[in-house]
Amino acid sequence: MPPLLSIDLHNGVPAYRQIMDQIKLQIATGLLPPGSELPSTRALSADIALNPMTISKAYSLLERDGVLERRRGQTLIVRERPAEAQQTARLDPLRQQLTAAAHLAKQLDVPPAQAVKLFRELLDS
Amino acid sequence: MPLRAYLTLLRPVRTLLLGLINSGCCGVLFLRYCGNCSLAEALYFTCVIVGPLIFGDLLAGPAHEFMNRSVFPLIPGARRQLRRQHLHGLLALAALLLAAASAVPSEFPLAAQLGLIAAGLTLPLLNSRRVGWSYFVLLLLISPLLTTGPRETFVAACQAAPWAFLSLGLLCAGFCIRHIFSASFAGNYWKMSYVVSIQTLAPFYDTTMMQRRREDNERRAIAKRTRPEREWRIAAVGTSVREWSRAIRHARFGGTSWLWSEPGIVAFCAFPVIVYGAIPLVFAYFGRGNAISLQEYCGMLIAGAHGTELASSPGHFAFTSLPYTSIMVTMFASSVAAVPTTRFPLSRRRLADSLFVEMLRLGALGCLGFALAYVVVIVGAVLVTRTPIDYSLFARALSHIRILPTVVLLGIAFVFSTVRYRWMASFGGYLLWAAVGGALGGLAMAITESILGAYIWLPGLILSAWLARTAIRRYYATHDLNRLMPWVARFAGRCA
Amino acid sequence: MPSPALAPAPTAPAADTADASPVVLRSITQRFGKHTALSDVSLALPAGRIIGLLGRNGAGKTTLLHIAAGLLPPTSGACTTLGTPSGKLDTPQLTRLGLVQQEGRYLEWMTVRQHLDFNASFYPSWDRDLEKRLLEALELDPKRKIVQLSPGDRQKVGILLGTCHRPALLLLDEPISSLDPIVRRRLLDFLLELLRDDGTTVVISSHILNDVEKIVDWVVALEAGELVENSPFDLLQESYAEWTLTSAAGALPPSFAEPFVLQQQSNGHQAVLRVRTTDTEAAARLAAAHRAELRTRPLNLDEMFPLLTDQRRRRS
Repeated sequence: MPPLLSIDLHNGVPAYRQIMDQIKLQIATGLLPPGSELPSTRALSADIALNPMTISKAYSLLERDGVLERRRGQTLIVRERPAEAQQTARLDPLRQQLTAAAHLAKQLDVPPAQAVKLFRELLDS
Repeated sequence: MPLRAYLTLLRPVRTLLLGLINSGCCGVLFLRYCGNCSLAEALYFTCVIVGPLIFGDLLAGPAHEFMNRSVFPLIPGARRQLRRQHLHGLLALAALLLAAASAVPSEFPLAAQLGLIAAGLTLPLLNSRRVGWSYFVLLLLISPLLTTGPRETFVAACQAAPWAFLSLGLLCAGFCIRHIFSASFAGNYWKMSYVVSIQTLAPFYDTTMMQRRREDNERRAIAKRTRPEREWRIAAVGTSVREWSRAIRHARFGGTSWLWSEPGIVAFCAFPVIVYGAIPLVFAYFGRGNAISLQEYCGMLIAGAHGTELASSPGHFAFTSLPYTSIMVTMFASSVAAVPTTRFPLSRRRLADSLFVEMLRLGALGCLGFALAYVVVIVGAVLVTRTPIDYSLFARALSHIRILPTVVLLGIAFVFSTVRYRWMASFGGYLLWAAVGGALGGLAMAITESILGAYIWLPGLILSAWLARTAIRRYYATHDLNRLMPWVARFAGRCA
Repeated sequence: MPSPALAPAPTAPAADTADASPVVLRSITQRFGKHTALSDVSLALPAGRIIGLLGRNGAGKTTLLHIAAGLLPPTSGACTTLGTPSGKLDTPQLTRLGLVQQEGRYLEWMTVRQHLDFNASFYPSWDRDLEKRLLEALELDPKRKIVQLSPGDRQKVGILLGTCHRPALLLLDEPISSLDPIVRRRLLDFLLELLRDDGTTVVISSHILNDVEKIVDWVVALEAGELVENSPFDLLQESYAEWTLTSAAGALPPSFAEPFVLQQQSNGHQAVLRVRTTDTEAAARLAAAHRAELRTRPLNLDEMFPLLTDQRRRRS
């Protein structure tokens, strides 16, 4: 099943980076299990109305990073990854989100212990 | 409206200059030489009849122009103030004209003079479309009145009932001013097609404004047009110049039905010959003391067709107008260049060649028009004078035409070589070109009359065709394809 | 003197890329009387991309497009389009070139259908199917006379005439300004389709940066006739950022002298800086130097544009 991507072209983040981050996120959350096929550059470009150059750049960078691999010449599929790689893959998006929260906590002078307690509350609910 | 604002609109120096030049030419010179008036009479009639019309039109121009702009109805009180200032202008001009008229001794009573001046100054206000040639036509109609038979009646009427003339004149003036500056008229005028005054166009007849006006008028005309257009049935245009010249022809003339364009050109070029022959006829026929009958005139035409001297009689004038009217054929031909190329996928050289082929075609049509006109005139003259048909007559007259293609081709070469001088696209440019064309034509006629003529005609024609094509090619090789040539844009008229 | 972090001035194209480039300009200068529209512009456009040609009014965008299309011979310099000098463009190249002008002149007396058929006879690669789909997508009635069309519809005619023959190089000068948002979206989709299917190089000049941002992947920017930018779009997105510094201990300086800081606002405790740098450590260094917390936010094209066009003054 082709991944559903939601790209914001006006927030200044390069589109290829957004594609890469979202595909990595979908792999990490299990929406794109290993072995699943990704749509071709042309098909995806037609689907979400994006410049095919952008998509092919994202794809080639993902391939270079070892997230995707090319099978049977043309199709890209999600690569099977070892356990620690999967672990890092899951923690990275979370780290990005939490960095901003940590900054805010410092600015508001919230002590770390309280911040962690708040985080645990939110996780439990 | 303060006086200074009105003067900015009016451009008084320009107005006065244009008025004086026009009155001098159309008034004094025309009446004196074409109408057989004495100098005093010519001056007098210019002050009292022709002058007011010319100056009245010049004064009306800025008023019309201002009222035609979309900003006019939004300016509070503009209409009333414009009317007031216009009245001031009228009074000033009337005083000037009266003063000039009183310097010339005449038998006209003062009251009648006033009436005539008042009417003449305000009648041009009614020309709200600002049709350019309207007052020339009016002058043409009036001048026989002033210079021939009916003149006596007119003078007698003025002397008998001067107050009638005065009141009629003032009534006319009142009516014109009231009508043009009325709220209802002004309320609609700004929506009408684009109008521009001569003061704005002179001295070089600024082509951007003319083009704007032309485009505006064209849109309205095309939108209203219901005549059928031509079909473009070619599925694929190849690479030959012939096919591309057809594409250009379609772009240029496709919007007009077949009936109007090519035959129209032929007729348009034939027309001046007939007019040139007819004007002297009119004056000769009605001339005081110099009346020529139609028979005599036609006899002169035939004699002129035989003779070789230039312009010694009205009839001969018709046949020597050739070099001067070749300007028209050249303009038609070069107006092909007014096609917006919408980026035809053609190399610049091929574009130039295709345009040249099309120009040759149009030039040939124009020359055909002239030839036909001459034939018609001669046949008419022969029929009227009942002389036996002498075919040498036709040969003689038509042999005058053989230099026309050469002159036209040289004219095209001249036009395309001088485009980069912007002032050439102006009235001054026309005059220069007419003078050059006239001189060329005269020279060519003189040469071709001699026995040498027969041998150099064909090489001369080929040389001028080569010059024309080279000039066109050079022009298109270095020219910005976005800009239409200024003066052909002006002349392309309602065809494109 | 520019620091290494500041982007270098755009230079002439490298020899190997110049051959494949559809449009190569070498030291193009264009003067109209006393006014200089372009001054010493050299660039080689990359093939098979959607290139955004940005600049303020009067920056020279239209002039550049006209020179590339061969309509205007440059005052000095050389332009090569589709491998041929632009003054010598002939039918084989011109049938692969499409130009959509901002104020195009059409044959007013024709209906849209007639004009399309007329133009179709010049181009062997005219695609009737594309024409039909584009007519529907742009919502243009082919039976209307061109003289009666509104400015928006005239723009649509220009787009049709320039695009239906599937050119290899498509130059668009302000094609979308008069279109409503829905039709605009459809046109941008068609441009993407041309790029996907034919590898068309599309150069689109527009003021509506919001729409341009959706599809371009290369940016060429002009300011007062000079070339100020010629880079991939995502490189620009990664170079420009807005940094917000919050001081943890003590006040921040009233102004920052670093050369990559393009705009700044500082009130002592907080500073908002707009920067351009490809140095990934610059942010951390700055934060450490002033003992402040730094948050970064990327800039979109609307925000980047005044900084882009200001580069010329900055450089000199």
